[in-house]
Amino acid sequence: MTPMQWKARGRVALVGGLAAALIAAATAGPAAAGDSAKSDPWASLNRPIFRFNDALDRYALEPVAKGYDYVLPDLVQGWVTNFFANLWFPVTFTNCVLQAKPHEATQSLARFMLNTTVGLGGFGDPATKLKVPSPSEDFGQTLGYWGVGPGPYLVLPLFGPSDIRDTVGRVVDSANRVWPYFVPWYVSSSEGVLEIINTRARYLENVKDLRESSVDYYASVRDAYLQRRAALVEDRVGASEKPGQAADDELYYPSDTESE
Amino acid sequence: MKSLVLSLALLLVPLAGMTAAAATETPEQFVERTSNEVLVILRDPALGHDAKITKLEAMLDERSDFETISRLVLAVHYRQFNDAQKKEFVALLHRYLTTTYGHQIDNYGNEIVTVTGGRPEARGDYTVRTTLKRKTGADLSVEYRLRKSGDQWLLIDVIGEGISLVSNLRSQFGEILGAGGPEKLLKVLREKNASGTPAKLPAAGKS
Repeated sequence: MTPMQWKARGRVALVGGLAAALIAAATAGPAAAGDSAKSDPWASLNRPIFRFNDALDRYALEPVAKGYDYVLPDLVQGWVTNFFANLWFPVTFTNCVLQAKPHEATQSLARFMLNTTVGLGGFGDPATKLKVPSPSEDFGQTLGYWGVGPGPYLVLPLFGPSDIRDTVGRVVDSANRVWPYFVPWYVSSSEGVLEIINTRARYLENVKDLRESSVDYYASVRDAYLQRRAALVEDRVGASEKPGQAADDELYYPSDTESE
Repeated sequence: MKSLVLSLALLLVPLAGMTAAAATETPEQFVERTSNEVLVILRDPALGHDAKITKLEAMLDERSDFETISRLVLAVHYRQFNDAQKKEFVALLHRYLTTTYGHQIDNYGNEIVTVTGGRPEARGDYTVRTTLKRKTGADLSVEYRLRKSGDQWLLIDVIGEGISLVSNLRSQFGEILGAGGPEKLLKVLREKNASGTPAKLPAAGKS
């Protein structure tokens, strides 16, 4: 069996096993944003991990990203961003198909073909210039689309905010990236490092602002993560946006404050 | 995931984006006109940083309903506040939003705001949808939740890339309220406003 076949077979087994694990996750109840007791039952575990990740970021990743940002011109950073975004094509395409979204799947395919050829291997982004929308679908969203709840909020060491559903999604999607098929591990892992640093460099100002403006940084990131993921699953934002969906009633008419 | 951080950081621009609306104006027109007025202030080379903040703050006061925002943010904890505490909270929240997001305004001004539609919500509220086009990076979706006060639309929430400011604040304040009640939250906000620096991360949750 060639390594490629082995990888493909491993993925099938992995997905099958995860599907079983999901049924358990689905019954774990929804992680609703705004209600910390319900959405974050593992807070006492999550907070220390969050602090660890944050310290790691402040002392290791952020300084490196600052140096990277200082040395590399924005133009080159843009190429790197485009290159890695292009490699997500199999993930996006597969999950568009799994969510029965042929329109978005076609957009994703068109982007990949244009950017890989005219965009010289993905470093350019002619698709965006031609106004081809960029769908954002992953396996976590696919699970949500088919009714799997997010389960409890979970902070992963190194990887950051997640929930049960998205952790499963992350594992499945990582097996579906472009590079694992044809490059040796030492290339893919150094590429992974470059991708992380490049991504971090894009958000230097934003992370700094959020850190400084939050009263409770942990709770702020948690709420933002859960809200954002729910919005993506329900297609309230992004390329496959469906307008006209009513917002959370409890948020705008909290029952305990009705009487004045 | 990272783009939500960005959209949170961008909340000041839309939040400050409300100004007087005529009674006959549709919510969409109201948001469009006021967004444009905010951008005019942000782009005005004659105005310094402080002058811009003063002007934006005046708009914010006039066109958003801070009483309602405070009530929504405090939610189930609202009843624990006595009248004096409620009053102080409204003032502190106002100050918190203008100072913490205010220092970021110099980064903005090149954006283009397009109203893309709107929808009526439950019990007379209305949500206006806009797209924020930036010089670099993908477009952002920003929604404004409005509630009618008399014949005037007032802003009660800003939702950037699916992230509601009210929900985010409720989540942050809820942890503090759960641990220490109204006095603790007021103290944290007083200190935060005075320092203008990041608050200490609370110790691991009690539950």
